[in-house]
Amino acid sequence: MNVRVKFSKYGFTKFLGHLDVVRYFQKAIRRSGLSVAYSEGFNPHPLLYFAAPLGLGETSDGEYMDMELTKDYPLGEIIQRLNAVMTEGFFVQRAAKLPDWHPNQKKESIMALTACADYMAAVKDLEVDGKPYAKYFSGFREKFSAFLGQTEIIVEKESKKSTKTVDIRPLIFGWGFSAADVWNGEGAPEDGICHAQTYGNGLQVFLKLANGSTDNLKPGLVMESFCKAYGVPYQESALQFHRMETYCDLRLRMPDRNEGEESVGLKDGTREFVPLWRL
Amino acid sequence: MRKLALPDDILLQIEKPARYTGGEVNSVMKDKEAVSIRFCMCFPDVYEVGMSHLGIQILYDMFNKREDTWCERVYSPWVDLDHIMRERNIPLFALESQDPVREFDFLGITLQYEMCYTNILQVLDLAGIPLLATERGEDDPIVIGGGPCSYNPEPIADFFDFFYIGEGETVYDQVLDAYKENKRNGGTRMDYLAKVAGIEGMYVPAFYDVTYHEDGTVASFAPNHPLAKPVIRKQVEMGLSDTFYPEKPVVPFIRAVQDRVVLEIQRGCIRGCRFCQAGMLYRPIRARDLAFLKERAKLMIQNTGMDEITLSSLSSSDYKELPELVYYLIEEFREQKINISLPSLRIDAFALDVMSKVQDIRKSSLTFAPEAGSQRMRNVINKGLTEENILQGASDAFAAGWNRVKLYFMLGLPGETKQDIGEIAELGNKIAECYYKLPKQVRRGKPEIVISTSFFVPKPFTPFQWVPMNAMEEFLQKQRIVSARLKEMRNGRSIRYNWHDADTTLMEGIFARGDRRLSKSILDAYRAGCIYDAWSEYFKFGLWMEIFKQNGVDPAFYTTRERAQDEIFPWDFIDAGITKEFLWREYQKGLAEVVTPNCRRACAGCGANSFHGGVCYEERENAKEAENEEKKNAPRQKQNPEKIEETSGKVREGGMDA
Repeated sequence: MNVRVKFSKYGFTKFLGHLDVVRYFQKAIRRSGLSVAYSEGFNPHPLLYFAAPLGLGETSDGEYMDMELTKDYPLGEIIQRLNAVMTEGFFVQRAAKLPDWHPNQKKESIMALTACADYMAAVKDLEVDGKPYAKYFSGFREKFSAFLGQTEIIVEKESKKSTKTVDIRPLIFGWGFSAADVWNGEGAPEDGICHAQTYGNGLQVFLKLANGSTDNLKPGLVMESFCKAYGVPYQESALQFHRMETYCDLRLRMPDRNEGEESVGLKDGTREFVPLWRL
Repeated sequence: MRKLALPDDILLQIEKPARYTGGEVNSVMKDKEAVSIRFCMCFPDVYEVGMSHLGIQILYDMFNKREDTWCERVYSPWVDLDHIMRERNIPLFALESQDPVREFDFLGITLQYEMCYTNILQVLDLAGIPLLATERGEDDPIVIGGGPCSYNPEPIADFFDFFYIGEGETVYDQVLDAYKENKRNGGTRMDYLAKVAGIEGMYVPAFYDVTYHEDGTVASFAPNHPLAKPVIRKQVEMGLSDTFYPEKPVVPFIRAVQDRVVLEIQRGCIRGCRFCQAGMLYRPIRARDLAFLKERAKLMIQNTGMDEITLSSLSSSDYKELPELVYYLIEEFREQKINISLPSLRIDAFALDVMSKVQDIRKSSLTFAPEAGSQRMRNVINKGLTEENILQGASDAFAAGWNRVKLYFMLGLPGETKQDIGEIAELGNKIAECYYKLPKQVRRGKPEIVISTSFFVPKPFTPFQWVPMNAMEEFLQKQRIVSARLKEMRNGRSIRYNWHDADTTLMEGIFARGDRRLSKSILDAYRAGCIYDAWSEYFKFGLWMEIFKQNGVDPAFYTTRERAQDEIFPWDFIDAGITKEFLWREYQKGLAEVVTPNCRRACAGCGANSFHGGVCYEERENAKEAENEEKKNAPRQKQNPEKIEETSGKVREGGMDA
């Protein structure tokens, strides 16, 4: 059976890079005793697929992993068995059964499905150059509203060879000062930030950003360009980014799913975001 | 949730922050208010190296089984964090609680190689513990040393409150109980050390005085405290199937050097290679029960989720039930795709069968360790591997599909000649010839043969502890001979040649047979900026030489000097089971090119039978069997029977192991 698992990564595990998380789950699956399918060859590894790598230092309540199991289990048992072997800093929230792949059918890659993610960006209670970082952000809400009120936000993106200018505004699908302003997920928006760290200064903003393999915007880049625009020193380690949910865009999904439907959404730019576990 | 010792901004600017955050699978959390002893276990090197060490995993498990004790871990902060901690005055902390190490009752440091000595000082310094034991006060942790380098602890004696000589499973309970009792009675640090001195195997350096002859050698080594024992007897765990062994080893999040479950199948070695310190120190050989190993292997895989298990011992082929164990593991772990690795395996039919089942033949390589190029030299060092064994093993391996072979040799062995050295290249060439003897259609391109040479460092408690080490120029000269000979070989192009660094070898040579007077140089080197000497990018050889000079230390005194038979060595106060008489006898036999049979063939009288167990007692049962075999071989024995023994590869292959 193919299963999609949604999990949280929080606390000290934010210092684990993506590859270490993959290795962690490969081991966790083996500890759980769930019968997982392995890749072929002389170095077989459990068949696990992850949605979108989380940046080092970021926490999340919206991480996804697909796995191929060789036996059928009740979904509740999968969650329970995995949580029994998790360390502090990892929590499995839910599991969803995926349709079986027909022979010869191309597997729907969870990475290719991923289109968007909600983030919370919060200012930590840390000092930067001898002054609490929050102090640099006076008039934050007005300034941030004005910043995102622009029709275009041009930033320089560095690649290996050159720097080019990009307009990041179209990659920001939504924003606001409460979680509900961006939320398309199930349940209360607060579910998406239940493992997020909170800070006394209360400065935070919510962002809905492109998070796909082609269009991708990191929350850090939004905050960096904001800081640049208002003369605030940018220190990424003094900001906490928390991913709340990861979505697929139904309108961009494989055509066979949308058969008979008009794909007007693509033309006029509207999108239909659905949390990955709902698919 | 645990509060981390380091703030986010530091953790996000250093390499691999997960080295310092703890919280790994199977790491142990306890309530610090509910325990009476806090023990911090340290491997003085970077996390990925330290986490690969089995000894700490065993002790960690053992200490944490005590309800009154919480054992945590600490490793050397990497140089990036080292700078920041000094700059911002952040005290070194333990991984589990993230509490400062200085608040602990004990800091136990494992000493696995000489090149970690300045890292010991780094750990003490960052922790805020005075570097010299004499300067520590009542509130400082008790600093304990253990591990292989504690068999000559003298060069670092000044930095430790005491050393635990031998295997940790035996008397640590006494050490900790004495601590509690002393605390209860309001005793001082000195009171405690006096109690420790009374426990078998514990060495408190402050309780001994050393005097020297005019020529620099030791004149006397004697206790200055009524409770200090004149001789410290090594601790040995004789019941290896009924002792501590972790069922739940800690699983690092980041990739460790040894990213696998380690199953120690036996301790000690029967081979008696004369250069090998481990083979002498860990006598007698003691095997763990097959049932014990099967059970632990299963539990450890279950509890860690690791995808590989490695069998650990000095010579796996000498574990009598190896085939049964290995075939069981292959079968048991087939479904979970667990990889099985078998280092230190003699290449024979069994080994090739097992390896073809567990490895990708096309990608893996086979390793031989002849250690010396000529048979004459192998007799000197008592390495019971004949050219015939090696060529047969290589031919079989090539026929089975391998085409990569690695060969390990040492340069600078006692009495080595140009001829002996040249034969290293010739052996490589002969192995390549074995490959070309295969029918053309079976070959897959060129064979890849890699020859690696290291330089021989004479070690305490080996028959070669009297031997002068080669000078640097000699080492380099010998290396050039190998290179040049390889160029002359017909198959030279199929052979790659790697060599070891001579600077590091010189340092190891100084410390391995060093004495107390070196502590000052190590301290000065650390103060001058030496740390991570085991890492070539940070090793400052020039600075070290400068510091030795300032301290009047002549490296040649410790390395290239030939020792007299009756010289008092700095480590002579340790009774490691093997006697000095045996070691001298073996040295003389080596010089005469006479081979000593392995412990299962005949007792060499090393002295380790004083531990009452292991192979020494097993031998009696097998005496008849050996006698019969001897009779069978009798017609062929024309020379000195000992000389015949070494060609007894046949015997080993046939009777003993397969």
